[in-house]
Amino acid sequence: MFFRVATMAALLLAPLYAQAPAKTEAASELPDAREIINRHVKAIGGREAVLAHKSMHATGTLTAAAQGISGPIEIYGATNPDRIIVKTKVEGIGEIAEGFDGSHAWSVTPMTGPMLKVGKELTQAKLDADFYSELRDPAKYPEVKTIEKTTFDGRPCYKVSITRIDGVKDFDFYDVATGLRAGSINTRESQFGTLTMTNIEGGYKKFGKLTQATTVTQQIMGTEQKITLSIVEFDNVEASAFEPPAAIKALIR
Amino acid sequence: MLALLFGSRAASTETYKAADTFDAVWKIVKDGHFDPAFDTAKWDRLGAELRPKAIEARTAGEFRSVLADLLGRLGLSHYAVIPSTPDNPGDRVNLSAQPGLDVRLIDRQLIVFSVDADGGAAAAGVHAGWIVQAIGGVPVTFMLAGITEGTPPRLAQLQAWRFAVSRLRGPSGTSVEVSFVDGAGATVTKSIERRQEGGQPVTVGSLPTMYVRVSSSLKSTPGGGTAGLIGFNVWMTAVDPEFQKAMDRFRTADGVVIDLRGNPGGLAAMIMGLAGHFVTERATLGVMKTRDSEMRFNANPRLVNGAGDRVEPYKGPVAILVDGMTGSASECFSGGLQSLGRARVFGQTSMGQALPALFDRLPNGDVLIHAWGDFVTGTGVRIEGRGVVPDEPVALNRAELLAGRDATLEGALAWIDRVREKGP
Repeated sequence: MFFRVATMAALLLAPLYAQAPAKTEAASELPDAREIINRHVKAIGGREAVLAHKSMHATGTLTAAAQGISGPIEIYGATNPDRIIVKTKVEGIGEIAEGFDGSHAWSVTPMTGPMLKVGKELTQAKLDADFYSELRDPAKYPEVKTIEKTTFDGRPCYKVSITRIDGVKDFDFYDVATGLRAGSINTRESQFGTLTMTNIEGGYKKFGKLTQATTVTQQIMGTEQKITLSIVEFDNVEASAFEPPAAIKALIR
Repeated sequence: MLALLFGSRAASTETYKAADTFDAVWKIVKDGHFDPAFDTAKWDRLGAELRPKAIEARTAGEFRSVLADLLGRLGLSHYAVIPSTPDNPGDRVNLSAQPGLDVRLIDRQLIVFSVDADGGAAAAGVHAGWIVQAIGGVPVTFMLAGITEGTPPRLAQLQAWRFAVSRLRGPSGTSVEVSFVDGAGATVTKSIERRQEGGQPVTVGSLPTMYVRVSSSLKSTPGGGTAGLIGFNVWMTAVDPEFQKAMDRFRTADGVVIDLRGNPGGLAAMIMGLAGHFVTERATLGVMKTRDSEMRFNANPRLVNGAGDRVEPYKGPVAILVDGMTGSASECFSGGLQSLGRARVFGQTSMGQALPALFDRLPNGDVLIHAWGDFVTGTGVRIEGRGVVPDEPVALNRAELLAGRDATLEGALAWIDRVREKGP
């Protein structure tokens, strides 16, 4: 879940991403991609623990340290249908929000104004809202393949390509030692064109029966921002939490 | 935009961490320079040449001069250091207040271009069109001598403006003595109170606080039409709600005029939102190109107003006023709408400093402004080093300023009449 949140949140503040250099090492025998993903799922608490939850609410901070920018971030997610909303507020800029309510994907920033996503942006936002994305359900991610054993964020990792049903190809990096996902490289359509971002995940902590990454460092075209979650709660989210702001409702009408 | 004011300054403190700060600046530029053809080997040599000088600097002022040399050799805008401390112990630290006048270089003379109604200059009786002869006892001729013959007008304008503003500004409540030649040809000297800048204070990250001012009014065209005039001094998000309100008032006007004269830029992403008031479909204003990727600045059609009501973007004629102190985001906006054929630009060629930039806090506490990418308009026109060239150039003229005329605005209003006469 947080992984997908990170993908959306990254598009809120820093509109561009640069690929982090990944040092490649030769690998003799590579494990099957599904095995790698399942190992991650097991490490975070198991498939049943993931499926046990129907909604999530997380709070934390969004920081761009080099620029001296920071602000609170709040994330809501739910399934049936998959929905997501990410909000942050940055001093001097204002409130920035992005969401998918099950039908409409949207964003509102004081810089660009309210915007409904259409076409590829909408299709991708729908899958980015996948509440059970940790599982990489074959129905939604039909093709997964282990590419190589490499170094990512200074750690030996398996690089796995993930082809989604919307045609998007992502790359996941799974820590060889722990099995936990260390990060990802994603390419998305956005209001700024096609953007590639690198997410470095860490700070795994247990919330209930699930172990979640609590930090994501995001790199976009030379900029870097970090999301740090302090509270993650499950199954206490009202449906109204996913209602778009008034400006978006006016666009939908 | 802040680079405009602080780009030529250097500073001082005992703890300026020369080695770490020099290395940070050098590395940020090397790693982040937008040009794929950037000569990194040459940059390495330059770093090796200047690093010892940086470390040997006796004051932060000397140190920053070395940084200015390093960044200056790039030959580009948006590479500058904003000092966190004064260059020397006796230097003015606080530049937050101003006397309330703006200047332009006209025919190699520094001329008062505008006077704020609420500022110290207005209270002292200063008028637009007066010639500035000295600021704080420093003759303007001293500065003009540094602008060599053949300097491109847009660069000369910028140098002159920097000279003036760096001396006019100071702590609130202090005064600056300025000598003028008035409209009658007499030399007058005024002691002008510096007052805190008006407007909504906005602080973004490590950047100094900026004061956002938005003005709007309904003008009559010479032919009896109407035009909404909107101006703002910097691209910060606080502009957006006021701009929205103004657009709601002007939706039925015969034309809209956006005054970006003296607006040096700000948050570049804002051009997408404000341009959206004038397009009905998503349209590319320009592309920011970095070393290995690019980002499109797409105008987002503004289909909802501030009250949450559905609206149609404005479809009438749009004029944009620019001058030599129109920079950065203002140029991307003007050049972008011009390239789309959605706006007609009036005035003087803009600054030609249009590289989208980032800012990073350095080890010594200073802030480095550094270009993030190059910007080309939707039709492929690079603005850096060129500026936005007006569709209808209007030369600045001292006599018109003295007479209280605004020939650039008059040109825009007359054009709106011509469009009206032609009909839809």
